[in-house]
Amino acid sequence: MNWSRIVAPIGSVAVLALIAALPLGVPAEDRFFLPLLPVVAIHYWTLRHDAWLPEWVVFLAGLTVDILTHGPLGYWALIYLLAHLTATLSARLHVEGTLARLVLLGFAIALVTFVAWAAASIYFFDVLDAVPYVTGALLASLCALLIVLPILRILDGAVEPSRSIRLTRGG
Amino acid sequence: MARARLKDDDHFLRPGGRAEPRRPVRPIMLFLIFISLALMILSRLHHSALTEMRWHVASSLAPVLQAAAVPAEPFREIGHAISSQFDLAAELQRLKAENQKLSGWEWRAKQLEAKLEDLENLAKVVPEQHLDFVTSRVIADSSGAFARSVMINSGSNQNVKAGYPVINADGLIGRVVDVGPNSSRVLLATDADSRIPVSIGAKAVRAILAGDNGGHPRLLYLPEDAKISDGDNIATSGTGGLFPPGLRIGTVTDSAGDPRATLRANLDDLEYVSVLFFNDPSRAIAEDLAAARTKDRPGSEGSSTPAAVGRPK
Repeated sequence: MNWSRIVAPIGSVAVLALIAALPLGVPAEDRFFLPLLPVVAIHYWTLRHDAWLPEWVVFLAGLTVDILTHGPLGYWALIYLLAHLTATLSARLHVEGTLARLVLLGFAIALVTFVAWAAASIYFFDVLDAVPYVTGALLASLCALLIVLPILRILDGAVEPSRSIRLTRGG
Repeated sequence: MARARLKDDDHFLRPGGRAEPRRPVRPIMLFLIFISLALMILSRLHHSALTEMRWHVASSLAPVLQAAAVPAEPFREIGHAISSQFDLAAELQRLKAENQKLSGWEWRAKQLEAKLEDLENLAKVVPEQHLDFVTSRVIADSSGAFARSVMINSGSNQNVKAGYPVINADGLIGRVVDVGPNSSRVLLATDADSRIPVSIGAKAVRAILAGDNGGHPRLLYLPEDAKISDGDNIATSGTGGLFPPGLRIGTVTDSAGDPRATLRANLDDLEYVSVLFFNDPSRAIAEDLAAARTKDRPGSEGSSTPAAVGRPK
């Protein structure tokens, strides 16, 4: 395996996890979309069979976000593992075409947002307001489309090994 | 061999990009999900070992966050520029009106200041404690559904201690709860764990400002006959010795059923804050007493064990 297929997935997930804790001037009610951005990277790289993003790296990224955002330990680790699991299972669907893949990503974001809301509600023993979560999911989808996915695509293209068609003779 | 290679190349020739071989769900996934759930339960139980470990890791990540904040600064500035363009005209009008009002107040304040000085001299009032401070940069924002706190780039090396109040130009924002060598965590006034003794309005009605992880903290334990109204100023009362009296916080927002406060400081957009080196006088007395008792105890002569200091929370 090309070493860059290890660095690009781990590096992009780590950078997005750090961004989740940076003081960017985003209102506290809308900050939920920032920790959702690593979900986009996890989904993207998990669908690439030649990229190396094992489960324990995803777990550690989640724990880092938990520590930096001062949430309960294991919360974002669970959400990111779920994103990894969703991407692993959706790879079996053999979805083709950009639009279908984007729909799949949107579904993954919606699913992990629902689980995040449900887990937080269970944690507080209270039904939490779902509006910040829905807003966060929409903002994360928008950021994914406009910023994260284009950057990941550039990274993916930059580190992609050459795939010229090899013509072999004989058999 | 050649057939296998041809089959492999066929993956790349398929329409719609490359073909992805089926990735199995490995047992480690289930194990890590179990670990995550276990950690969540331990966090819910506020396990002390987890709390300690969490702060150690977070403070060790402080240099990384400080470095990461540098490239993020232009994006923050762009955001400021865009948002300020939207409400520039309204802000100008508001500032003009405020300036006019403040000119009158300045004259009145100078008069009162002179009068107060005369009265203090007459009554031989003990001068108030002079508070030193250190100004620090916010390097991480942990605000979300679970907590409202920020990490700043000053710690025990800069003489910051747990319990110190933290302010910015607009007023009180919270207090220090965790201290590392070069970083500290500040619990904001909006956090669900935050409780601040306050006095409201000209009649100095006493209450407790309690955060609930929302934008407007609640005012609890108001006296039954208390009369407060929208716009009344809220400041720290100094009760309990956690905060010095008179630090401005905000105004009363809804005095109807559920009184709340609108904070003066914008806690969503903190950049620089000041940590006040405020030592609670009653705590200092308690420490002195504890030290004296230890000294007087037989067999404890020469003992260098420091007195236990309670961490304010």
